[in-house]
Amino acid sequence: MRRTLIVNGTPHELDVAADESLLHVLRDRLGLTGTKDACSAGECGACTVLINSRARVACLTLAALAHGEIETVEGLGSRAPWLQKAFATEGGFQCGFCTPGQLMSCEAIARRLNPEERPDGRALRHQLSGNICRCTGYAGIQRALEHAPSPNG
Amino acid sequence: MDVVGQRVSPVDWQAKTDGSLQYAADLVLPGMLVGAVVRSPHPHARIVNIDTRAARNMPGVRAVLTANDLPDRKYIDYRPSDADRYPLARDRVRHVGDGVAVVAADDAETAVRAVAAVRVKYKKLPAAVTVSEALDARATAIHDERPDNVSKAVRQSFGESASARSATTSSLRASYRSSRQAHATMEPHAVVAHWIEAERRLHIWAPSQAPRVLQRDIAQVLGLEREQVYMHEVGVGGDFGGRTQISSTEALAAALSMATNLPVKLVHSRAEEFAFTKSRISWDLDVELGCDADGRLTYLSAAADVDNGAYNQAGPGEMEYGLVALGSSYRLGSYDVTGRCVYTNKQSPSSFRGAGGFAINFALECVVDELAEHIGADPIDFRIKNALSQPGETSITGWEVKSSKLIACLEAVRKEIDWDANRARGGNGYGVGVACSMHVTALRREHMMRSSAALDIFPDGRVTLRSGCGDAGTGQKTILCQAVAEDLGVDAADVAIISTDSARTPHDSGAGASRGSFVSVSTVKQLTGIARDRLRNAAAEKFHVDAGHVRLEHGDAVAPGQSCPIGDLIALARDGDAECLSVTADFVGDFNAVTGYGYEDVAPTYSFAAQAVEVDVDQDTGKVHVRRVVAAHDSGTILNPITARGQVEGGVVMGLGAALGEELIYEGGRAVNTSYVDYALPRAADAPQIQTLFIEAEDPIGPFGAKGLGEIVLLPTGAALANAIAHAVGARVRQAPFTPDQVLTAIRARSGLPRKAGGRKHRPREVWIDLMRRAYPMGLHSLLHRFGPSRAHRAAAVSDIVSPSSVDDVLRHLDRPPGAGPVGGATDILVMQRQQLPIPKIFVELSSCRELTSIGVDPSGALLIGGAVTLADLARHEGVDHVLRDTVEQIASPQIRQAATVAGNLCQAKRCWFYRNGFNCYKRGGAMRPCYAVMGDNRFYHAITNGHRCQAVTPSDLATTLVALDAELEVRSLGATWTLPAANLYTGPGETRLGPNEIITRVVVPASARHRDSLYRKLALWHGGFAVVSMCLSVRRAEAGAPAEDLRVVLGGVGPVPHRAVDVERRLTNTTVSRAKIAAAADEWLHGTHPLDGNHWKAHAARNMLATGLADLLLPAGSQ
Repeated sequence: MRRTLIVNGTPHELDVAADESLLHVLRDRLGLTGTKDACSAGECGACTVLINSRARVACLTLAALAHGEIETVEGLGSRAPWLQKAFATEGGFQCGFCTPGQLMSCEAIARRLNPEERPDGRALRHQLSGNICRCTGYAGIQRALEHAPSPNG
Repeated sequence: MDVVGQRVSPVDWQAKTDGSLQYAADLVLPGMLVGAVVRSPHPHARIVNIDTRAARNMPGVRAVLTANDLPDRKYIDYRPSDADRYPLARDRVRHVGDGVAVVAADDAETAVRAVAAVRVKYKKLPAAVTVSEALDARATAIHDERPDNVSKAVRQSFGESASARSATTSSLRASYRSSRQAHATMEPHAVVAHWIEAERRLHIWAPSQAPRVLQRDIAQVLGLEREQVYMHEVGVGGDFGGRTQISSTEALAAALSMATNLPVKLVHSRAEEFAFTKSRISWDLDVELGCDADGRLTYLSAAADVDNGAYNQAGPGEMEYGLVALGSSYRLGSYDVTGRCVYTNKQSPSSFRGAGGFAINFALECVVDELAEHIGADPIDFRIKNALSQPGETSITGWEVKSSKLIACLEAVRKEIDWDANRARGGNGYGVGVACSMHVTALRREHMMRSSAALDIFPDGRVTLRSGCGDAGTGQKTILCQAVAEDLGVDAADVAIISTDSARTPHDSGAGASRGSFVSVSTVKQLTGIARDRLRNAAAEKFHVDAGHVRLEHGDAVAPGQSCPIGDLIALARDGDAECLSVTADFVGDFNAVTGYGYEDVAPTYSFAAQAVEVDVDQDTGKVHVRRVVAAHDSGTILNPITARGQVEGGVVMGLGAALGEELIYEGGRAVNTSYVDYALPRAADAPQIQTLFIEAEDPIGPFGAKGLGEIVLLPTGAALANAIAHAVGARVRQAPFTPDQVLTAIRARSGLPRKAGGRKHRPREVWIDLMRRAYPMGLHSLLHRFGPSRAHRAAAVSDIVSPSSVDDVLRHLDRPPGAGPVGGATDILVMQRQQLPIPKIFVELSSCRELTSIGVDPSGALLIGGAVTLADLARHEGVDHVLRDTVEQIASPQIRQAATVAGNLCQAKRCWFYRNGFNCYKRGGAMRPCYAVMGDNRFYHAITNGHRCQAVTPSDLATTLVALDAELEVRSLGATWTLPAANLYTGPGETRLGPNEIITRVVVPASARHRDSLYRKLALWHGGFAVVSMCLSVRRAEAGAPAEDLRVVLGGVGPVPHRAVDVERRLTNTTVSRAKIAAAADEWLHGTHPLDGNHWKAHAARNMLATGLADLLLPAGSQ
């Protein structure tokens, strides 16, 4: 079936199969391999992308139903350079394989931050719990996220 | 130092944070084929015949290879003397998943079909899947050369046992067991191989922290020269020892490419990754430790059985090393040890971060703690008194301390964890524990002690280091660049590194045995020494001064009164007219020319650590919550605080994973928990606060005074946790992981309480089920497993997806046969498809109907939730009751909650790990198939009450709460709308009353229930995991503390359907309750349960959750 997927601001018109995942479209058809396939079962978060600013696992998202603005790690540099730098200086990654998904989850959280009430470490950890990391013990990721600028500047 | 020791960002940070770093699975080469492996379904069988014709003749299939198509060569892995593993099984398969054939096809779908088309005829052999089965005198030999199934036996003695024992006044003996921990690297095994005939060269892209080690084995097993195998640089998505040596994928992809002259990609699925790759080796250790009247250790003796799996990988060597290490970190009068490395019919495990250290440190540091407790000594003082900690000191096994800050580490954790105060207040579920470790920095083996590197310095001042190392994320490349920058006096940003690439880099032995910061950095230091001399000589020539007066700093060569950029010296310093100054260095560290392990100073130097853990143990359920870890490490000079801290934090969490939940579980030799949802690995919310302390002291041997760090970080963690649990509950856990079942069982044993629950021996209405359950161990299971015919269906292709905008349209689509089905968030449908479970052929989207996605409150005060409302929207909605929010926020993950819907959650299929992970069980294959949970591991996710033939449970947490809230479901089919109480939705585990053309359009939570006081609690193995037990209680009463007028008590995860404990409700309604009455009601409920052998603990846990929850809800706050 014919669908137009808007990825990082660019529309792509594609024929997608009913059971085709957004992850398959991104990696195998659009060549956006920054989004990783680590479990194909929605359990690890390595394929996290944003759809209308909400974090979703691309491996379980049916491409045919992926309505809205899709953002991947390839589009993140222009949106959140602070996040990438914070990952570098705070030990937010090691092997780097889960990192694109971690970054997208962090970005989703950062966009929803309430300037009045910053979540504490425990709350951040809960919100990061959809992304497995085998290297960092999550501490560096949390520290990186704490660099998030306040939404109002 | 200007660069070394500074917070330099990892050299690859940009590529790792913008998605541009390519990992093997990301590569696309022209004409690339997809490889897939035909695997043995049996743990042990003779291969009678392999018929590949049908597969070979399929369109799109380019090659099908069996062992006969490969050279008759075995992998070397660690040592030629241990070699017993072929790339593909020859004549005989020795574990489930053993490779029998391999196919290459144009695309993944064809490869999967080709795998299914290869016909293999097996003759099954008796299998020994556990160590005790393999050691049984009647066991079949797994390798004919080892009729007793012992691959390697060790017997060693150090010191004078008789005198050490005669000085002993106290001793203690205990057994400790550790599990198989999966490496679970985030990147599954992936390899791209490309044989280019014109070059006679094999190009390989394969992640590894030691690419040259892979190169060696790929070449020899395929009969190539080492130079013919070109290792390319590629992202390494984690290693932890799992890819330090060759795995099973690289040579197979290479052979396919050589057969087809096309590039071949072979990538593991996550299930394959869990089931068919290496894991950590599990150890059973019996230890006995003695001390004298002064509290000084006298002797240690130990006996170990190591589960080697079907083939030798690291097993024999790890056992030999580990059994020496066990006697090396304390001052002992004598040490006697025996060990057996035992073949079993399971996937063979291999090296894992720490090289046996986790298992031996767990045993040693627990028995030390137990002995300290036994003689009334403080555990930290006892360690300070006895641990090897002084430079120059030599262990009874020959390990000589070069530098040590162990005592400072122990004192640091004592202070930071507030040891004295917290030890005094421990108990009643709160505790602190400590453990320490000593670990090698590299091993003095020739192959580990030889490394080379090269350096190019360009006229523009840029420097490129070329090293054959791989960097699995530890920061290896970054510290090498820092070392270059430091020694050449240039900016870190001007140093780049080419790693791995075997055509452009000299040999490096790679990372492993904590040698990266020692061997590779030492090599770089030798290299920069040469480069520095060349540059200073050139500067001396240019400046007409003595070379001794030239310094290199800030990118310049500086002599008194003159300076120039080092780039300007290249013309003078280079060889001939090369474009740059290139130098090479070959480092050869001091090595011992031995093969085995005995009395020997095994490493150039040793690292030390102490860790303290603070825990809360829920004594109702046995669930351990780690509050805080203090990790104090002596790894000499810290080369980079960012990456070093990351090693500690990551290592501690990996150690906690091994200690708290990680464990590969097998049934009949087949791995059961082969997904992240079933393999309990820590999520962010499970990880504690970690305080990292580096007690830095320059090591006299290590480069820049540095010692190894990457492995020791997880060695003390398990024991420190076990010691903290013992402090918290007064009972010892000696089998890792310390899952709630282990801990609760230990707590009950401490109090002399029975292990078993459920007083009812017979269930009058379920007599035949009970008879069947009893017949399972008497042969019924084995009969059904071996001979039961299956009618498991074959999945039909999904053909269409429709997005109706109204419920009527949805219903019309569903009514149109055949095979249409509703799709909510689609969070399970593709998973079930891969698991070959039934899914609809036509997906009918529900989220496209606005009427299904609204939440509101009607005039009566009832909460109305559309069936396709997502869990995230439900939790976010202002009007939603807190008990619903509590429930939802513990379901799965934020990403899943964004998509998953309320009705989808209620209707999800069962999650039994046998059913989901391919076991051809009763529910998958029909009435003549067994339920694998009856005899298999049923500790967490199976029924303790009302179990029928299938022991699975309804997995929906939301159901538990909605039943307790008297929710009603509005169900619609074409032309009919009816109301179904949530309590009546289910007919079986994850099975509903809904017909194929019916959907839940709305969930109604009545106002009467919303006015009640309600409480939700959940026991899960990890944050977001499926419930082991979920519980919702809801009470109406005149005022707080008044008798309950109406009460709901609902448990999830305990029976096939949400379980309403009606008798408990009745006993506690309209009466003044007391703690005793609650306990009596909970006990009566417990009496009515009917657990399987492995989940009696869960019945106790559920009973305790009930009692505590009811007390919290019903008793006045003051009486708690």
